[in-house]
Amino acid sequence: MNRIKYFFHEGWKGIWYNKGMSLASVGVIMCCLLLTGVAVLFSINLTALVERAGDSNVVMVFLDYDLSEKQTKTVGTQLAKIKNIAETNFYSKEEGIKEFSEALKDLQSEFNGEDNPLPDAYKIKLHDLSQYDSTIKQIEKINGVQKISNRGGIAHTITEISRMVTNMGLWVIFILGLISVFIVSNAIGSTIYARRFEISIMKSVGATNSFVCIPFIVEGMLLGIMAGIISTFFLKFLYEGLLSVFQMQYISNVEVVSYSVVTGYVLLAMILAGTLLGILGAVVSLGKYLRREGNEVLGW
Amino acid sequence: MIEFRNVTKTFEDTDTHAINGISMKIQDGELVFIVGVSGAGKSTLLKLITREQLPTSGDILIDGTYINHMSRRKVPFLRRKLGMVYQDFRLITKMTVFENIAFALRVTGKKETEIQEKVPYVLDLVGLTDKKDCHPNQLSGGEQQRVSLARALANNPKILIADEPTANIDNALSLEMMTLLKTINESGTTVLIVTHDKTLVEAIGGRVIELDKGVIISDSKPEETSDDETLQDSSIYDKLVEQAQSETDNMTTDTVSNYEEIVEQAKKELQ
Repeated sequence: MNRIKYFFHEGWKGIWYNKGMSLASVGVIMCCLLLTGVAVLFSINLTALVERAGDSNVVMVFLDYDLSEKQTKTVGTQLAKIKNIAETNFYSKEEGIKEFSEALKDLQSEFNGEDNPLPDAYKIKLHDLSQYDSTIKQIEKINGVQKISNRGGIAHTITEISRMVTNMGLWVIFILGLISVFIVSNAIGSTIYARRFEISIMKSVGATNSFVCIPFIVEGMLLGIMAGIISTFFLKFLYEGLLSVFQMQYISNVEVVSYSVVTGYVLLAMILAGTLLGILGAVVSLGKYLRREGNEVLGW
Repeated sequence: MIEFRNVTKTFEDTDTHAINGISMKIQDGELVFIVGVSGAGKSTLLKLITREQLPTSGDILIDGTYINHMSRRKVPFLRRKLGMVYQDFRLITKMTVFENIAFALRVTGKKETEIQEKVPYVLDLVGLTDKKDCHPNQLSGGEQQRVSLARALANNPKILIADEPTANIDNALSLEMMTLLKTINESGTTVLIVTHDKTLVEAIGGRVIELDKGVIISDSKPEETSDDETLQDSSIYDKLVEQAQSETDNMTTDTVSNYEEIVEQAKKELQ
């Protein structure tokens, strides 16, 4: 217990002794967390948007005109067996002409009953739009399938947007993460440099490497936690501000993720990410000092 | 016991043989002076003992353990057996005297109760009890060196290593420091002192290992040292005392009385 108290005391002392550098570190981690947070929240919104668009992407499988009821059911069973098909709903020619005639009222009486020119069909939804082409090929092989509404273009567009959003989000997080680690490692490096004299004494009297390291790791962790907490509150204003600008200009009718709903998760994620960045930064800068001995620690 | 077996240390970047095939044994409880000119290899020898550096060839044993084959993980535990006193004192200026010593105990995992008992004890040993709340920059060079010594003693080292302990203090305080080191040695601690002050070495007495270009050129053990070359030689001792006393004119009253006490004690011990 005393040791834990000592490590936290020393970690805090490190922050306090190097107030300027600590403040700069918190600021930099905050910037990175904020940018990452905004990127993640927008990525979540875009992914949701893409998913909603994907939900309405129904593929129509039109059947041959002369199929019996039994053959029609067999086609439905075979469709349901295809792995990438999420939903299969029968769409009769009567439903089809009804929907059609609502749009074109003049044709209402002309194509009812025996004169209905539409074939029966199945409305299907796919699990993974990226596998659209291969799924369509499987459907085409089924006996009794006359035609498939070709919406491959839409499927590809949606898939591409989704992939781009995910990739961009990941790259933004990765690059900002690297920048954060680099800056935190420099900040902790400065603390270590300022305290190199203490480190050399610690090593000369027989302190273990872990004992030397832990206060700096705690320092990095505390910097990360502070930055995480502050970022959560700043992110609220940044996110809501940016969202209102976007909603006014581009996506006024789209339902977006409300910050109040995700605050808890954001806080947790920010603290964890901040802690991780702080610890990583500390570990990176500690490595070289731990390998040094005696006067080398002092740079003599 | 410290043992060197045909130890060589070469610095490849400068192609220098800092230590060149040294073999020696230092028994427990010995007082050993390592002397030599600059570049003789004194500091490298100390660094090899403290495992700050590894020999290029040969073996170094401390209490029967090959320290050159020791894993990095075990090095801190080796260093807890060694107490280091540096010529530049290496005290943390932000900390008080008490905190400087407590720091050395704390980082080796000592409990707070133990620290509260041990620090006053070692401060008393070096005569600095009344300075415990001072910061290093409020102390004289000699006092700072005594704090450094107290810190080295705090972990009960088996071997005390002093690297030029008198380099940055005046003659009077040098004698005081050497007398303290001798007293510590008499209590059973092995003491290794690197110095180039031959007068002090002759005055205090002990084994003297002289290095030159990384080689031991002489190793005079106490029994080999003639009486008139040691502190028992009143002529050298008196000369030092005289020199030291002349410097006391510039000292504070406290330091003078402290110094005089030590000199008196040393005189009694030698008679």
